[in-house]
Amino acid sequence: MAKEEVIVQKVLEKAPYAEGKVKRERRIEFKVPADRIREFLMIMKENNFESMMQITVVDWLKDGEFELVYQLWSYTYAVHAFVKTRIPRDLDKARMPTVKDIYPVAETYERDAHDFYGVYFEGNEKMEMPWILDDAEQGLFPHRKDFDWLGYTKRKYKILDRFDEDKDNYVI
Amino acid sequence: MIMGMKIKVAPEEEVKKRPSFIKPWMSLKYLFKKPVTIKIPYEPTQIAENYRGFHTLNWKTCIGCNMCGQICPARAIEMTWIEGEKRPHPKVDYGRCTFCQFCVDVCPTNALGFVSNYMLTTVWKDEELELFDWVPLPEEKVKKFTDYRHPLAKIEKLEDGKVRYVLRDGETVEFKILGYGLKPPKLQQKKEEKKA
Amino acid sequence: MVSQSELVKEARENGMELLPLDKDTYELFFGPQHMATENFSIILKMDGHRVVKAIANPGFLHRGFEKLAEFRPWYTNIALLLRICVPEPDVPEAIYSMAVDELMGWEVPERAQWIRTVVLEMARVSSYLFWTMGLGFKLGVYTAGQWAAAYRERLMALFEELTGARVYHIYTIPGGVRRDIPSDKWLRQLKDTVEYIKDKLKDFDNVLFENYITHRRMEGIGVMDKKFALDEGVTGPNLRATGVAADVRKLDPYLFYPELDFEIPVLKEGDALARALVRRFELEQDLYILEQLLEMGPPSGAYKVQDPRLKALPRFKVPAGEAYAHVEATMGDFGAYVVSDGGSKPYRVQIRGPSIAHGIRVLEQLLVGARIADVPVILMSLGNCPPDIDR
Repeated sequence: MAKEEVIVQKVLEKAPYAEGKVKRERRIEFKVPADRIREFLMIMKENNFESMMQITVVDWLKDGEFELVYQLWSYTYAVHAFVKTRIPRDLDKARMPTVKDIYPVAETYERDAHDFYGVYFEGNEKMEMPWILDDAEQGLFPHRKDFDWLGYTKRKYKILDRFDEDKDNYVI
Repeated sequence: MIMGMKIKVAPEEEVKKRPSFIKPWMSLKYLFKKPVTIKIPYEPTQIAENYRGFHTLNWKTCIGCNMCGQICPARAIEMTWIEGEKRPHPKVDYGRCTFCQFCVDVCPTNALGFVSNYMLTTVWKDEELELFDWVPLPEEKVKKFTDYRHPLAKIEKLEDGKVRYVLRDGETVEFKILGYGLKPPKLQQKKEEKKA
Repeated sequence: MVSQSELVKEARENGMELLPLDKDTYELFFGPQHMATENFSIILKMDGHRVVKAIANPGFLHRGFEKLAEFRPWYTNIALLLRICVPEPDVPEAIYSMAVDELMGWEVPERAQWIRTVVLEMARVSSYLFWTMGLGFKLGVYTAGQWAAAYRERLMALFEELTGARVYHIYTIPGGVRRDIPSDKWLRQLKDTVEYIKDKLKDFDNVLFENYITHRRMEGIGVMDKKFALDEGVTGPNLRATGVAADVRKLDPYLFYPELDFEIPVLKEGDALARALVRRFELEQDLYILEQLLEMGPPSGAYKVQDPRLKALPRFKVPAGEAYAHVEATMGDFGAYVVSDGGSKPYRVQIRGPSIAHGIRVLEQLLVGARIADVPVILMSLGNCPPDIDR
């Protein structure tokens, strides 16, 4: 049996609430309910997934959900794990518990996700600290799919470019 | 640390270096050697033959398909309708162009090309900025300038939409711009009349 | 004219304490104009010349690449994403292309893989030379810095010949590369350059890496241990300097790396000097890898995937799914996560730059207790590249 399958089985034994599969060589994927993500990441850390690489937020506008992908890398097995969870994308409901006590570096990634998508990570005290965006852009969450970027560009830079009006295929 | 894998690790003594007082002085020998730098502007720089510079356009083979306009990451290309030409030709704005030359790659008839001329500089004149928003000329007209500068000396705007491109050796190209966009300008006018 | 009291009032309103905090402590804004930080700012609370607290303040280079990539056709994003990493722009190109290749299910031709490997290694060498330049300047060894810049110029010329541009190459594309190797002459020139730089390494050792001043300046500052490094997501040379034998080229091999023979340097000290020496050794290994690749010679065949879908490039569609590809860059583990919904544009692209881990939390903790003169040295030893953080 390949090492990836062994790892998935080992993790799923401890976390029966999760779904797991092998995507390809050295890539495995888990789907976890949002309220058990902390528990699950603790199990992952015990299972030699030492490093967190990034937290990706994918905005699935049609489903009305955010997909949070916690990406972990194991130096022991040389396997990359995607831990996926879904939360509602409404501003007041997009809340997650922080995982910075499990993977300290997650603090930075969580600030990034909050600045651009508006996912609030409870327990991360740096959540309100200014990150990349300026004060004027705070709270606009520009990476959301329904962000009115054309309107924002016109408002901010007051340029009516020739490409705004007569093309249906916009590129800014 | 890694399970079932052998990683070739360099011996530590090869990686480590010993501090030395004397060795830094060895570099003094370079005082007596020739410099490796090029003395600009007294010496010319050598630009690679396939350097991605300004565009050229074969007006005869351009079919006005707007593939270049669609692939352009910076939206630097706008289709221009010229009197006497059946199909529109791309106009390239070098204020936006990133010189990625994807437009040249996608051109289905290989009408768009490029030369290694790349200098995007002006001498404190606003009208010179207009040079960098042009309908590219055929290759033979651009390639004769080998000093890497833009081939145009000036763009004269004549009456009723006519423009005259004056090349740096005095040659001129005159044409009339009817309008911009994907659809022929006459059709657009009719549509506007209908709307009104 | 704005009076001093108005300035102070404005600063207070914006949450800035420009006045001395108390009798001994004051606040110092390090960057974003400071040369060492490369458009990145650190707010330092100083007690005399010692740092009490450091707060990293990124965002001066934010250009919204990840959002912009969602509006552009799949191919065109190459011309955009490579701007994330200035010293080695081939890395974002390569990871994005590798992720798209995986989504498409393409088997990239061997020749294209060989060229990609050569380009990545050349980028590594040129990036390390760039870093050597920075380190030399920050330590005051300007000679070494200027040499490194001059030798890097040779690689720039080779890149120019191969790709048609000097810094932003826009060369690696999904499915292969854009141009074939120009000629055998180019390969010979590359070989000469590799030998030339290898020859000059001894000079760098003499002036910079074996210099007594370098050792005195870098030894024992910015120390991190293995557990701290793993927890904080430290990758690349910085992780290897803490005693972890990890390299993406070995652990998650891609392109031609499984067939190449090279060693990775591991040191246990975890201080700035160890990080510098690890990088110094890797530069040598990269030159050795390039030599091996040139000895192997380019495999024959196409340099691009032959696929009928490539004919209509602007409308080129990628099947739905997601892929992650990462490579070992000189700064650390560079990864791209690409999500497609089956359309002609990516649904989501995230680039994971190594500096997002190195430049924020790690830097904040390593700077505590350092002298003000050591701040640029620690920054440089981490190989921090702010565009990765801001994206």
